[in-house]
Amino acid sequence: MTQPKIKFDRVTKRYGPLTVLNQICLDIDPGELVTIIGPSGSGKTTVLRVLMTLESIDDGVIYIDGEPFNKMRAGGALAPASNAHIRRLRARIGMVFQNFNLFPHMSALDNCIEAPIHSLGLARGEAVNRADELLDMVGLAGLRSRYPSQLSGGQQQRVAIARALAMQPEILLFDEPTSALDPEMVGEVLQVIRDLASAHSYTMLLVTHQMGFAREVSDRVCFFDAGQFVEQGPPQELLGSPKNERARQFLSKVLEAR
Amino acid sequence: MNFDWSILAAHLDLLALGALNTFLILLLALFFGVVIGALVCAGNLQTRRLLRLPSRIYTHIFRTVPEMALIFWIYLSLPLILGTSFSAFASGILALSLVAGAFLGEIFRAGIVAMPAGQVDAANALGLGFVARWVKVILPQALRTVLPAIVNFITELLKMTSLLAAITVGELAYQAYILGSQTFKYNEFFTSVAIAYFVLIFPVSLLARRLERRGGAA
Ligand SMILES: Nc1ncnc2c1ncn2[C@@H]1O[C@H](COP(=O)(O)OP(=O)(O)OP(=O)(O)O)[C@@H](O)[C@H]1O
Ligand SMILES: [Mg+2]
Repeated sequence: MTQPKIKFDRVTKRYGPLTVLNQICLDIDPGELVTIIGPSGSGKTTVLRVLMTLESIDDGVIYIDGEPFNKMRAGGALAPASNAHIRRLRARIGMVFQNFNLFPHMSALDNCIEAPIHSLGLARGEAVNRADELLDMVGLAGLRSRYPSQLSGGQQQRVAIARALAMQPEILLFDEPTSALDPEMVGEVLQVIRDLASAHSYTMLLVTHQMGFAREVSDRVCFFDAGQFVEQGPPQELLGSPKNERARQFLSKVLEAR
Repeated sequence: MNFDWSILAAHLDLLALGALNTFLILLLALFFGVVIGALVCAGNLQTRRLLRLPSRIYTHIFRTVPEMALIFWIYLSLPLILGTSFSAFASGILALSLVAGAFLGEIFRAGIVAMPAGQVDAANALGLGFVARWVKVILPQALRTVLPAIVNFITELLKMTSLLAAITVGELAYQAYILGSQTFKYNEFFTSVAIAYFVLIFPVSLLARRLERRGGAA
């Protein structure tokens, strides 16, 4: 039995009186690409944000490679994690945001070298070489010195992917990476994600409304609603003939809208 | 009415000294104002209300008390409380620094609050530590946003320095007043000093306008 790369063990997240994640459980295998779908406001982004430690959780444990993440082992029990512990495990995760969140005062290249220099301690020359390779990989070799405001949405999102990859993560989180894009730019970003999925060993967690893309690239699709993973399965099954009533309703609405 | 140029030439040294003092006061008040402003801003950004309170109170006080009253109070009343007196120059710097700290603190806060939350998310997701997050991500963007407001405030502060004439600090306006009263050539001295202030302030305020327009276009 392989050890799950990521494990949510009864994780609960509340915003005031609102319970957004209600004791969620999810295991993700190394190299697996799992897509999360679900209605707007159901908490999909929150799943990614707590995993990226951008939000604290109220209850439960998240494990990375079998190690508790938001807690740490102390003797036989689990104690609150130290900052160093969180930083160490967080470095294995990279995140791509819906609104890119590039640093607007830095060129595409600087966006991709700042964190490797400051967080990984890379020498500038080496960071530049690696950033250039990554920008080349996402098809932006010629645009390294452009600022985000001089790039199209699709190009910005590709820089953001290169920036996340520059930190050499093992896990990649994508939060609706194409939903802020004009339709004609969606394809170029999906192509980059497709390449990452097929040619690399990243473990990926993707939130998307692109059902066709989810069906094509996912190893597993999870339907999230009302604070829980309601149903999960292979893409053909879950997207084709969901057993859960709410999943069925959601999918028929999404497919109608297209 | 004839304008006596020679009287200006004869006292050019004192006028130059006044201008130098004005400049020095501006720089010192600005320096301490930035330090105080950063502290006030840090307090104002705390999530716990109790921790914000000192900054809130500070800001309210020094933005509402008229500068002139504050200057007199620090020069004349504060020594009674403390039992020691400061020079007029030091009192003036203290008064203007306190005022500058309140205004700059608010300006800094506005710049930081205006920044999209996604920027900090991205910095955190990339593992940037506290220092790198502030130095590389937050401050450059916040400063760019508020640069016009800062430059505008500098022109206000420059005008405020002339209030220190009231407590005999030898800056430009005070020199004009003293020289005028000694020579009875008030017109010559105050006209030239008014023009000097204009020449100093006008380019700076043009710069602020330009920065504002550039910011609006971006
Ligand atoms: N910082 C916050 N404070 C309070 N409530 C929040 C906060 N962030 C999110 N929420 C609430 O938590 C719920 C889940 O939000 P989340 O962004 O995870 O949903 P989502 O499934 O990603 O939705 P969408 O498809 O619209 O992106 C929503 O009801 C939202 O209003
Ligand atoms: Mg979302």
